[in-house]
Amino acid sequence: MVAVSKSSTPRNKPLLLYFENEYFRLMRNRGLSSLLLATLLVVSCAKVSDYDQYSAYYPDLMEHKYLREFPFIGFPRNSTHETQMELVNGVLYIMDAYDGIHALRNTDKRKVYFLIAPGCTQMTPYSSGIVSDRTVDLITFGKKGNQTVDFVGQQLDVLDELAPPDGKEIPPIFQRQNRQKNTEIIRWEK
Amino acid sequence: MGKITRLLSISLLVLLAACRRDTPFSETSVNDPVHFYPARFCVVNDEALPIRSNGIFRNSTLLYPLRDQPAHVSFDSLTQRLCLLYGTRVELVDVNNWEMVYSAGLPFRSEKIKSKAGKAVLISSDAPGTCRILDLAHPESFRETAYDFMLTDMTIDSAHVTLLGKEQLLLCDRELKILSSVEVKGGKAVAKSGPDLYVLDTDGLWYYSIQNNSFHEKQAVH
Repeated sequence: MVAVSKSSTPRNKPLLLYFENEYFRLMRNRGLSSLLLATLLVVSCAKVSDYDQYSAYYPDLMEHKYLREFPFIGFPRNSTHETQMELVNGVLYIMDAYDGIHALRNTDKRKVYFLIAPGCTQMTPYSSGIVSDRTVDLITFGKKGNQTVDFVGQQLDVLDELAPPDGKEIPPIFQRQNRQKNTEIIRWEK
Repeated sequence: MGKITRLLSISLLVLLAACRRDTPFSETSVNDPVHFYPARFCVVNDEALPIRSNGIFRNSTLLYPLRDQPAHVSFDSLTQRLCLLYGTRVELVDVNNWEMVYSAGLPFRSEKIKSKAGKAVLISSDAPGTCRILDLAHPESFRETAYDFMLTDMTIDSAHVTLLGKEQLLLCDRELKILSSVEVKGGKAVAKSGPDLYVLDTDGLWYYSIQNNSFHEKQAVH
């Protein structure tokens, strides 16, 4: 007569049933099951790691003097990341995300200017031009005097900082109080 | 057998612990440098107003408190109503007293709303495309049309609504009745003012003139 062991092996039982048996047998051992439960609790309640809390992206920074003191209107240039277009008062404005806005004259279909707005993500038309963000500032371009397109005005430090695209916190090293003074985030990269 | 069980349990725990940790390289695509940001400001009666996480401000005065930052906003000067779009909810605010006058859920996800002359148009951000047009004075009555292609951008003015898809550009009246259509290649953005219309697609920038409710002239813009 052949002796049959109490716990069956995968050879003569379906694998799932075998693991189920093994699991319940394991759980009968109070010490081991408590240890398992405790470990599972520790793992699931463990403090969220830095990778979870902080963004994996790193920011491009620009000093205020380059952002706010240099000319706001430049020569036409090639587009790279067009995201939005608005046609206002015979001028087509094409947003080039994070860099600025191309201005194209409707009459001869030519790009006439590049409106420099580092860190721009959005533009909205108003009666004689457009308003755009420039990192934490708002900047307005449009008709001014005889000029069809000109720099009209700006509001400084009115917006929140550009947040990392993954929705996580700015890593401590890049937070305003820790990073180089008088700098703003103009884009996030990986 | 006991050893095998313990080994399996430990492996399971190690696997669980590994899943808890998010590696820094598991997020958004590296090759896509343009990211979606919620609305950061709005223009109301030609005045730019910052939108922060907790509200809409004039200087440091809170005009309208927000629980979430809207995905997109648009102001209609005729009705003096500000349209706030929150993905699956649309809200209208009367800017004379900064009070909410309408709020409704959407059956689709939307991240673009534009308004002009008493009407607002919003498009779904998923495929297939859906477009809803709202009468801002009576937002309970709206018209909605579904299309068999994805919509990427739109315009609205006092005469027309244009809807841009990846492969088609539609010229519609303000009730969303299609008046004319043209083919495009990977449509990205559209802008229109009067009879002038520009389309940006993967082949570049194109100009169309509109005559008699139809696309008339097509011209490549360099």
